[in-house]
Amino acid sequence: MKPIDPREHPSHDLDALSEALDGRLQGEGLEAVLGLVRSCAECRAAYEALAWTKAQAGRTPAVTAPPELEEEIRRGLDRGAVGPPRARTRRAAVFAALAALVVLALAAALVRLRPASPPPTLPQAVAEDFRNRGARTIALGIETTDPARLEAWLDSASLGFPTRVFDLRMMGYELRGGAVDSIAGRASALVVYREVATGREVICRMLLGRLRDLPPPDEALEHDGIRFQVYEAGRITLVFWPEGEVLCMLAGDGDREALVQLAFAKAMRAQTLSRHETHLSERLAGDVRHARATGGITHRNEEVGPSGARSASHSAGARRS
Amino acid sequence: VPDERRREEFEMTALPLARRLYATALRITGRTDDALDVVQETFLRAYRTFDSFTTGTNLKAWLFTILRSVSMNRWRDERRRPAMVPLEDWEARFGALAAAGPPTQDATSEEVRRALDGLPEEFRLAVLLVDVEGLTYDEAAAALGCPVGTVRSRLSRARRALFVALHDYARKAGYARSAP
Repeated sequence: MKPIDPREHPSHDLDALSEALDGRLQGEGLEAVLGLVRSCAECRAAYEALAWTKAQAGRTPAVTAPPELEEEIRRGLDRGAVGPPRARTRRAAVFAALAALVVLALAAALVRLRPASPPPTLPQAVAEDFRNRGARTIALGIETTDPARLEAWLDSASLGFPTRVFDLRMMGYELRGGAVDSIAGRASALVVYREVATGREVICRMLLGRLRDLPPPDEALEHDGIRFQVYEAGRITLVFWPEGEVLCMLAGDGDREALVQLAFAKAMRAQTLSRHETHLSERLAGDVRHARATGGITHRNEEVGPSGARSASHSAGARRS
Repeated sequence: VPDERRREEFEMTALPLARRLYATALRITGRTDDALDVVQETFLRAYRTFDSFTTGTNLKAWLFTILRSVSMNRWRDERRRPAMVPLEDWEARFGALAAAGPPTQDATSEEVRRALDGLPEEFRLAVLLVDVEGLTYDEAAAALGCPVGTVRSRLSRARRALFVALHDYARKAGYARSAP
């Protein structure tokens, strides 16, 4: 195959191929790119090279932020410090290091004298948060009864994990809204439902985490292959379960069994949706394999009419943003 | 707005983005202590000007704008910007290598990091913001302070250059296809 010729394909063609990868093209723009990819082997090669590169860019080394990052930021806000610590002189830095050593030595001595109380576990933190908020005074970032709207709002917060919001009216719970906050030092999506019969509110949280990192529960349940851990904190009941890399939880101070059943229902819906998405993704992967085998990128749903006109949904890795 | 409520509102909306900002800061600066400084300063500046932020507009893009500004000032101050390979040198080789097809194996994360580090800063940032952080073109344009068309062009050129750089690594490792 000959290399792409810049006289035949100016830079804007390559820019359009690159843009198609990001799902920004629609209509005529997308059709033009698909036409290039179908009719020109060099363009197809360029498209595949750019697609491979985009995938590689996502392989940059993973970054783990220090666990105390949010606390450091809060301390910085408290100080209202002007200028970064690196602006300090070397001598000041040495003094600071020595001072830190002294503080550490003192802290170590204190620890020997009196063991420090451990930080609250996640269930304790969630229960404390529920207690402090008060069932009827939950501040919301968005008030809506529309699950899709809330889901889109949470997505825009870019928490780094998928958030799913379900309509639970069939279970007797009405959506009130949601917020984004942090609990036990972790970013969390918060969704509030109201039990229609009692007016009590139930908080659902999602954050990155694993069930096995939680302390032993008061009760462990299994439902349709999913493990649920239940904790009691006074009148508050907490139910935790995993959804992929996300740890979900419900907190409420109403009927315990009703809360557990609600957790089952939410988890089942998420599992069903996840299976559906896996099925769709396998179908799409099949499309790509088929396109490669037949030497072109095609539309699965493409219908070619008698005049040769197409009506189709797009593919070729292009998704609308 | 009382200070306490303002602070609470700021923390509730901005703090959940701290880890993503830190990741980008680390990729820009390459040093954990610098990244932490940059993120702290970003949040401090954001908090001071939070009143000017319009609720409902894109908080993420706004924070990334400040982060970029803080990072660039830091880099200029410390004169640590590494020497770059001219982008044109890489772009010129793209066509021939693309015709050979992508390497048969994925690049290692370390190779990706080195290849990205070799890009001129504005091109590297475009890739970091769109391909790594998942910002839209509009958000990246706001963060980079340039038109959307410029983001589009920078991304395209950066991807071509990255492909060539990664192809070179693959050839050395023995899993690149030969150019025709």
